[in-house]
Amino acid sequence: MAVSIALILMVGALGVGVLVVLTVIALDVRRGVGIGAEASRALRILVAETLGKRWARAEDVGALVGDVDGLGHAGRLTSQQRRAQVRPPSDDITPLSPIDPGVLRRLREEHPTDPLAYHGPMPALGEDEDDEPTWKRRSGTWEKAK
Amino acid sequence: MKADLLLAVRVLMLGAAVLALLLERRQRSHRPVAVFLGSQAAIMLARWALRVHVVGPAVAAGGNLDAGIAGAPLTGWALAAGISYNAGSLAWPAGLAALSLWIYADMPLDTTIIAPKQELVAAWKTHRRNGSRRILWVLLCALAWAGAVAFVALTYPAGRPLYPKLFAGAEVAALVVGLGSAGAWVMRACGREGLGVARACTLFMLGCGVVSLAGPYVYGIFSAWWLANAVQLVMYSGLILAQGGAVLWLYRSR
Repeated sequence: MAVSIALILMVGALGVGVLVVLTVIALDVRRGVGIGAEASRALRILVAETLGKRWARAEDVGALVGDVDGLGHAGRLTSQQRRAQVRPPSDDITPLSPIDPGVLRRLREEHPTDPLAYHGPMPALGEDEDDEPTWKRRSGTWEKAK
Repeated sequence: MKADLLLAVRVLMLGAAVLALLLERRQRSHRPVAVFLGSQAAIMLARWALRVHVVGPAVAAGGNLDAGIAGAPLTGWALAAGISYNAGSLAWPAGLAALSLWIYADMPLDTTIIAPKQELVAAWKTHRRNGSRRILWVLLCALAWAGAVAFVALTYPAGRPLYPKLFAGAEVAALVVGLGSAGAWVMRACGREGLGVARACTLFMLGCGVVSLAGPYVYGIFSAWWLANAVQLVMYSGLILAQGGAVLWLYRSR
Protein backbone atom coordinates (compact mmCIF):
# COMPACT_ATOMS: atom_id res chain seq x y z
CA MET A 1 0.00 0.00 0.00
CA ALA A 2 2.71 2.47 1.04
CA VAL A 3 4.81 1.57 -1.98
CA SER A 4 1.81 2.13 -4.23
CA ILE A 5 1.32 5.60 -2.75
CA ALA A 6 5.01 6.36 -3.28
CA LEU A 7 4.77 5.23 -6.91
CA ILE A 8 1.68 7.36 -7.47
CA LEU A 9 3.48 10.36 -6.00
CA MET A 10 6.50 9.74 -8.23
CA VAL A 11 4.28 9.52 -11.30
CA GLY A 12 2.64 12.75 -10.20
CA ALA A 13 6.03 14.45 -9.92
CA LEU A 14 6.94 13.13 -13.37
CA GLY A 15 3.71 14.57 -14.72
CA VAL A 16 4.62 17.93 -13.22
CA GLY A 17 7.98 17.74 -14.96
CA VAL A 18 6.35 16.97 -18.30
CA LEU A 19 3.96 19.88 -17.85
CA VAL A 20 6.85 22.24 -17.10
CA VAL A 21 8.74 21.09 -20.18
CA LEU A 22 5.65 21.54 -22.34
CA THR A 23 5.20 25.03 -20.89
CA VAL A 24 8.80 25.90 -21.74
CA ILE A 25 8.31 24.69 -25.31
CA ALA A 26 4.96 26.45 -25.69
CA LEU A 27 6.33 29.79 -24.47
CA ASP A 28 9.41 29.49 -26.68
CA VAL A 29 7.32 28.60 -29.70
CA ARG A 30 5.00 31.52 -28.99
CA ARG A 31 7.95 33.91 -28.84
CA GLY A 32 9.69 32.24 -31.75
CA VAL A 33 13.05 32.01 -29.98
CA GLY A 34 14.76 29.68 -27.60
CA ILE A 35 15.50 26.01 -27.50
CA GLY A 36 11.81 25.07 -27.65
CA ALA A 37 11.27 27.05 -30.84
CA GLU A 38 14.38 25.55 -32.42
CA ALA A 39 13.29 22.03 -31.49
CA SER A 40 9.79 22.69 -32.77
CA ARG A 41 11.11 24.06 -36.06
CA ALA A 42 13.46 21.12 -36.54
CA LEU A 43 10.58 18.73 -35.84
CA ARG A 44 8.29 20.49 -38.32
CA ILE A 45 10.95 20.38 -41.01
CA LEU A 46 11.50 16.69 -40.31
CA VAL A 47 7.78 16.06 -40.64
CA ALA A 48 7.66 18.14 -43.81
CA GLU A 49 10.50 16.14 -45.30
CA THR A 50 8.78 12.91 -44.41
CA LEU A 51 5.13 13.60 -45.11
CA GLY A 52 5.13 16.48 -47.54
CA LYS A 53 5.17 20.23 -47.52
CA ARG A 54 1.56 20.70 -46.62
CA TRP A 55 2.63 19.90 -43.07
CA ALA A 56 5.20 22.68 -43.00
CA ARG A 57 4.84 26.34 -42.15
CA ALA A 58 5.94 29.04 -44.56
CA GLU A 59 9.25 29.62 -42.80
CA ASP A 60 9.93 25.90 -42.83
CA VAL A 61 9.33 25.75 -46.56
CA GLY A 62 11.75 28.63 -46.80
CA ALA A 63 14.29 26.57 -44.97
CA LEU A 64 13.61 23.59 -47.16
CA VAL A 65 13.88 25.53 -50.39
CA GLY A 66 16.61 27.79 -49.13
CA ASP A 67 18.98 24.98 -48.48
CA VAL A 68 18.34 23.28 -51.77
CA ASP A 69 21.92 23.76 -52.94
CA GLY A 70 23.26 22.28 -49.73
CA LEU A 71 25.16 25.47 -48.93
CA GLY A 72 22.59 27.19 -46.79
CA HIS A 73 21.63 29.67 -49.49
CA ALA A 74 18.14 30.99 -49.09
CA GLY A 75 17.50 32.87 -52.26
CA ARG A 76 14.53 31.04 -53.64
CA LEU A 77 11.52 31.99 -51.59
CA THR A 78 8.01 32.12 -52.96
CA SER A 79 6.31 35.46 -53.44
CA GLN A 80 3.83 34.62 -50.74
CA GLN A 81 6.64 34.14 -48.29
CA ARG A 82 8.12 37.48 -49.26
CA ARG A 83 4.77 39.19 -48.77
CA ALA A 84 4.46 37.57 -45.37
CA GLN A 85 7.91 38.93 -44.56
CA VAL A 86 9.06 35.57 -43.45
CA ARG A 87 12.60 35.66 -42.22
CA PRO A 88 14.65 33.38 -44.45
CA PRO A 89 17.46 31.33 -43.03
CA SER A 90 20.56 33.47 -42.82
CA ASP A 91 24.20 32.59 -42.67
CA ASP A 92 24.27 32.75 -38.88
CA ILE A 93 21.93 29.78 -38.68
CA THR A 94 23.55 26.45 -39.17
CA PRO A 95 21.95 24.94 -42.27
CA LEU A 96 20.07 21.74 -41.80
CA SER A 97 20.87 18.66 -43.75
CA PRO A 98 20.75 19.24 -47.51
CA ILE A 99 17.48 18.37 -49.14
CA ASP A 100 17.53 16.11 -52.12
CA PRO A 101 16.23 18.15 -55.09
CA GLY A 102 14.38 15.06 -56.21
CA VAL A 103 12.35 15.10 -53.02
CA LEU A 104 11.36 18.71 -53.62
CA ARG A 105 10.40 17.97 -57.19
CA ARG A 106 8.22 15.11 -56.07
CA LEU A 107 6.58 17.35 -53.45
CA ARG A 108 5.84 19.98 -56.07
CA GLU A 109 4.30 17.39 -58.33
CA GLU A 110 2.21 15.99 -55.51
CA HIS A 111 0.96 19.40 -54.40
CA PRO A 112 0.73 21.53 -57.57
CA THR A 113 -1.79 23.97 -56.04
CA ASP A 114 -0.22 24.30 -52.62
CA PRO A 115 0.70 27.99 -52.25
CA LEU A 116 3.46 27.04 -49.85
CA ALA A 117 5.02 24.62 -52.28
CA TYR A 118 8.03 25.67 -54.26
CA HIS A 119 7.10 26.70 -57.79
CA GLY A 120 10.30 28.24 -59.02
CA PRO A 121 12.82 26.74 -61.37
CA MET A 122 14.19 23.51 -60.03
CA PRO A 123 17.73 22.43 -60.77
CA ALA A 124 18.06 18.96 -62.11
CA LEU A 125 20.08 16.46 -60.23
CA GLY A 126 23.77 17.11 -60.75
CA GLU A 127 23.23 20.55 -62.25
CA ASP A 128 23.81 24.03 -60.87
CA GLU A 129 25.85 22.66 -58.07
CA ASP A 130 28.57 25.27 -58.48
CA ASP A 131 26.33 28.17 -59.46
CA GLU A 132 26.03 31.27 -57.34
CA PRO A 133 22.57 31.86 -55.91
CA THR A 134 20.41 33.75 -58.37
CA TRP A 135 18.53 35.71 -55.73
CA LYS A 136 20.05 38.51 -53.67
CA ARG A 137 18.66 40.29 -50.69
CA ARG A 138 18.26 44.01 -51.37
CA SER A 139 16.73 46.49 -48.90
CA GLY A 140 14.74 43.89 -47.06
CA THR A 141 13.35 42.09 -50.10
CA TRP A 142 14.63 39.35 -52.32
CA GLU A 143 15.39 40.23 -55.89
CA LYS A 144 16.77 38.27 -58.75
CA ALA A 145 20.41 39.06 -59.37
CA LYS A 146 21.22 40.75 -62.68
CA MET B 1 14.71 0.55 1.36
CA LYS B 2 13.78 3.83 3.05
CA ALA B 3 17.42 4.42 4.07
CA ASP B 4 18.55 3.75 0.49
CA LEU B 5 15.92 6.13 -0.82
CA LEU B 6 17.09 8.85 1.57
CA LEU B 7 20.70 8.32 0.58
CA ALA B 8 19.80 8.50 -3.11
CA VAL B 9 17.90 11.74 -2.50
CA ARG B 10 20.88 13.24 -0.69
CA VAL B 11 23.27 12.30 -3.48
CA LEU B 12 20.92 13.65 -6.15
CA MET B 13 20.43 16.85 -4.17
CA LEU B 14 24.19 17.40 -4.08
CA GLY B 15 24.38 16.72 -7.81
CA ALA B 16 21.59 19.20 -8.54
CA ALA B 17 23.31 21.83 -6.39
CA VAL B 18 26.67 21.34 -8.12
CA LEU B 19 25.04 21.60 -11.55
CA ALA B 20 23.18 24.74 -10.46
CA LEU B 21 26.48 26.32 -9.44
CA LEU B 22 28.07 25.29 -12.73
CA LEU B 23 25.16 26.72 -14.68
CA GLU B 24 25.26 29.94 -12.68
CA ARG B 25 28.82 30.54 -13.91
CA ARG B 26 27.50 30.76 -17.49
CA GLN B 27 23.98 32.08 -16.94
CA ARG B 28 23.60 34.80 -14.37
CA SER B 29 19.83 34.46 -14.25
CA HIS B 30 20.33 31.06 -12.63
CA ARG B 31 22.08 32.54 -9.59
CA PRO B 32 19.00 32.54 -7.29
CA VAL B 33 18.42 28.85 -7.99
CA ALA B 34 22.11 28.11 -7.41
CA VAL B 35 22.04 29.99 -4.11
CA PHE B 36 18.89 28.17 -3.04
CA LEU B 37 20.00 24.66 -4.01
CA GLY B 38 23.54 25.24 -2.72
CA SER B 39 22.34 26.49 0.66
CA GLN B 40 19.79 23.67 0.93
CA ALA B 41 22.48 21.10 0.14
CA ALA B 42 24.70 22.61 2.85
CA ILE B 43 21.77 22.53 5.29
CA MET B 44 21.11 18.92 4.32
CA LEU B 45 24.72 17.97 5.12
CA ALA B 46 24.58 19.82 8.42
CA ARG B 47 21.29 18.13 9.35
CA TRP B 48 22.77 14.78 8.35
CA ALA B 49 25.72 15.36 10.68
CA LEU B 50 23.43 16.48 13.50
CA ARG B 51 21.24 13.43 12.97
CA VAL B 52 24.13 11.01 13.01
CA HIS B 53 26.18 12.49 15.84
CA VAL B 54 23.76 14.22 18.21
CA VAL B 55 20.04 13.88 17.59
CA GLY B 56 20.09 10.23 16.54
CA PRO B 57 22.00 8.97 19.62
CA ALA B 58 19.84 11.11 21.92
CA VAL B 59 16.65 9.71 20.40
CA ALA B 60 18.07 6.19 20.54
CA ALA B 61 18.75 6.73 24.24
CA GLY B 62 15.07 7.42 24.82
CA GLY B 63 14.85 11.08 23.84
CA ASN B 64 11.97 12.64 21.95
CA LEU B 65 12.49 15.41 19.42
CA ASP B 66 9.23 15.49 17.51
CA ALA B 67 5.63 14.62 18.09
CA GLY B 68 4.62 11.02 17.58
CA ILE B 69 7.83 9.59 19.01
CA ALA B 70 7.57 8.36 22.56
CA GLY B 71 10.29 9.36 25.00
CA ALA B 72 11.54 12.04 27.30
CA PRO B 73 12.20 15.57 26.00
CA LEU B 74 15.71 16.37 24.87
CA THR B 75 17.83 18.66 27.01
CA GLY B 76 21.11 20.53 26.75
CA TRP B 77 23.18 20.21 23.58
CA ALA B 78 20.88 17.53 22.25
CA LEU B 79 17.97 19.96 22.47
CA ALA B 80 19.98 22.71 20.75
CA ALA B 81 20.91 20.26 18.01
CA GLY B 82 17.31 19.13 17.71
CA ILE B 83 16.02 22.68 17.33
CA SER B 84 18.71 23.37 14.74
CA TYR B 85 17.64 20.19 12.96
CA ASN B 86 14.05 21.39 12.79
CA ALA B 87 15.19 24.87 11.78
CA GLY B 88 16.89 23.20 8.81
CA SER B 89 13.62 21.48 7.93
CA LEU B 90 11.80 24.81 7.96
CA ALA B 91 14.48 26.40 5.78
CA TRP B 92 13.18 24.60 2.68
CA PRO B 93 9.70 26.18 2.56
CA ALA B 94 11.06 29.58 3.57
CA GLY B 95 13.79 29.36 0.93
CA LEU B 96 11.40 28.15 -1.76
CA ALA B 97 9.03 31.04 -1.09
CA ALA B 98 11.91 33.52 -1.17
CA LEU B 99 13.28 32.00 -4.37
CA SER B 100 9.87 32.18 -6.07
CA LEU B 101 9.36 35.78 -5.06
CA TRP B 102 12.84 36.70 -6.23
CA ILE B 103 12.77 34.89 -9.52
CA TYR B 104 9.23 35.75 -10.60
CA ALA B 105 9.21 39.31 -9.28
CA ASP B 106 11.08 40.68 -12.28
CA MET B 107 12.95 39.46 -15.30
CA PRO B 108 16.65 38.74 -15.00
CA LEU B 109 18.84 41.28 -16.70
CA ASP B 110 20.35 38.86 -19.16
CA THR B 111 17.00 37.56 -20.40
CA THR B 112 16.78 37.80 -24.14
CA ILE B 113 14.29 40.48 -24.96
CA ILE B 114 13.05 41.34 -28.40
CA ALA B 115 11.88 44.87 -27.81
CA PRO B 116 12.61 48.45 -28.84
CA LYS B 117 15.11 50.45 -26.84
CA GLN B 118 12.39 52.36 -24.98
CA GLU B 119 10.95 49.11 -23.68
CA LEU B 120 14.37 47.96 -22.58
CA VAL B 121 14.90 51.21 -20.68
CA ALA B 122 11.48 50.83 -19.05
CA ALA B 123 12.28 47.24 -18.16
CA TRP B 124 15.57 48.34 -16.64
CA LYS B 125 13.82 50.97 -14.50
CA THR B 126 11.24 48.41 -13.38
CA HIS B 127 14.03 46.04 -12.50
CA ARG B 128 15.81 48.68 -10.43
CA ARG B 129 12.57 49.60 -8.69
CA ASN B 130 11.66 45.96 -7.97
CA GLY B 131 15.18 45.09 -6.87
CA SER B 132 14.78 46.64 -3.42
CA ARG B 133 11.25 45.26 -3.16
CA ARG B 134 12.53 41.77 -3.85
CA ILE B 135 15.01 42.08 -1.01
CA LEU B 136 12.10 43.10 1.21
CA TRP B 137 10.20 39.96 0.20
CA VAL B 138 13.20 37.78 0.98
CA LEU B 139 13.63 39.47 4.36
CA LEU B 140 9.97 38.80 5.12
CA CYS B 141 10.50 35.11 4.31
CA ALA B 142 13.55 35.06 6.60
CA LEU B 143 11.47 36.73 9.30
CA ALA B 144 8.73 34.11 8.94
CA TRP B 145 11.36 31.36 9.15
CA ALA B 146 12.85 32.93 12.27
CA GLY B 147 9.38 33.17 13.81
CA ALA B 148 8.71 29.50 13.15
CA VAL B 149 12.08 28.49 14.63
CA ALA B 150 11.42 30.69 17.65
CA PHE B 151 8.05 28.99 18.08
CA VAL B 152 9.73 25.57 18.00
CA ALA B 153 12.40 26.66 20.49
CA LEU B 154 10.08 28.41 22.89
CA THR B 155 7.26 25.85 22.96
CA TYR B 156 9.41 22.71 23.25
CA PRO B 157 8.44 20.25 24.60
CA ALA B 158 4.82 21.22 25.25
CA GLY B 159 4.32 22.39 21.66
CA ARG B 160 5.40 19.15 20.03
CA PRO B 161 1.85 18.10 19.04
CA LEU B 162 1.63 21.31 17.03
CA TYR B 163 4.79 20.64 14.99
CA PRO B 164 3.07 18.66 12.22
CA LYS B 165 0.62 21.50 11.71
CA LEU B 166 3.48 24.02 11.81
CA PHE B 167 5.51 22.16 9.19
CA ALA B 168 2.47 21.54 7.00
CA GLY B 169 1.40 25.17 7.34
CA ALA B 170 4.87 26.36 6.38
CA GLU B 171 4.87 24.11 3.31
CA VAL B 172 1.39 25.18 2.21
CA ALA B 173 2.22 28.85 2.80
CA ALA B 174 5.41 28.53 0.74
CA LEU B 175 3.53 26.86 -2.10
CA VAL B 176 0.80 29.49 -2.07
CA VAL B 177 3.40 32.26 -2.16
CA GLY B 178 5.42 30.49 -4.84
CA LEU B 179 2.54 29.60 -7.11
CA GLY B 180 1.03 33.04 -6.55
CA SER B 181 4.21 34.79 -7.63
CA ALA B 182 4.51 32.45 -10.62
CA GLY B 183 0.92 33.23 -11.53
CA ALA B 184 1.61 36.94 -11.24
CA TRP B 185 4.54 36.52 -13.61
CA VAL B 186 2.33 34.65 -16.09
CA MET B 187 -0.22 37.47 -15.97
CA ARG B 188 2.46 40.13 -16.41
CA ALA B 189 5.07 38.80 -18.76
CA CYS B 190 3.98 35.47 -20.22
CA GLY B 191 4.55 35.52 -23.96
CA ARG B 192 6.98 38.42 -23.76
CA GLU B 193 9.58 36.50 -21.79
CA GLY B 194 10.47 32.86 -22.03
CA LEU B 195 10.30 30.58 -19.02
CA GLY B 196 14.03 29.90 -18.98
CA VAL B 197 15.88 27.29 -16.97
CA ALA B 198 15.74 29.12 -13.64
CA ARG B 199 12.00 29.78 -13.75
CA ALA B 200 11.31 26.27 -15.09
CA CYS B 201 13.32 24.67 -12.27
CA THR B 202 11.50 26.79 -9.69
CA LEU B 203 8.15 25.89 -11.20
CA PHE B 204 9.09 22.22 -11.14
CA MET B 205 10.05 22.40 -7.46
CA LEU B 206 6.76 24.13 -6.66
CA GLY B 207 4.81 21.48 -8.59
CA CYS B 208 6.62 18.68 -6.78
CA GLY B 209 5.79 20.42 -3.51
CA VAL B 210 2.12 20.33 -4.45
CA VAL B 211 2.40 16.61 -5.29
CA SER B 212 4.12 15.85 -1.98
CA LEU B 213 1.20 17.40 -0.12
CA ALA B 214 -0.66 14.19 -0.95
CA GLY B 215 2.07 12.10 0.72
CA PRO B 216 3.58 12.76 4.13
CA TYR B 217 1.24 15.62 4.89
CA VAL B 218 -1.64 13.16 4.69
CA TYR B 219 -0.03 10.05 6.18
CA GLY B 220 2.10 11.73 8.85
CA ILE B 221 5.12 13.98 8.56
CA PHE B 222 7.24 12.14 11.10
CA SER B 223 6.08 8.62 10.28
CA ALA B 224 5.83 8.74 6.49
CA TRP B 225 8.39 11.34 5.42
CA TRP B 226 9.92 8.78 3.10
CA LEU B 227 6.95 9.40 0.79
CA ALA B 228 8.31 12.92 0.35
CA ASN B 229 11.69 11.36 -0.45
CA ALA B 230 10.02 9.49 -3.32
CA VAL B 231 8.85 12.80 -4.80
CA GLN B 232 12.24 14.38 -4.13
CA LEU B 233 13.91 11.53 -6.00
CA VAL B 234 12.02 12.51 -9.14
CA MET B 235 12.42 16.22 -8.44
CA TYR B 236 16.19 16.18 -8.10
CA SER B 237 16.51 13.83 -11.08
CA GLY B 238 14.52 16.30 -13.15
CA LEU B 239 16.60 19.21 -11.91
CA ILE B 240 19.77 17.34 -12.81
CA LEU B 241 18.45 16.59 -16.29
CA ALA B 242 17.34 20.18 -16.94
CA GLN B 243 20.40 21.87 -15.49
CA GLY B 244 22.77 19.27 -16.91
CA GLY B 245 21.29 19.78 -20.35
CA ALA B 246 21.63 23.54 -20.03
CA VAL B 247 25.21 23.22 -18.79
CA LEU B 248 26.14 20.98 -21.71
CA TRP B 249 24.40 23.34 -24.14
CA LEU B 250 26.08 26.48 -22.79
CA TYR B 251 29.54 25.01 -22.30
CA ARG B 252 29.46 23.46 -25.77
CA SER B 253 28.36 26.67 -27.47
CA ARG B 254 31.15 28.81 -25.95
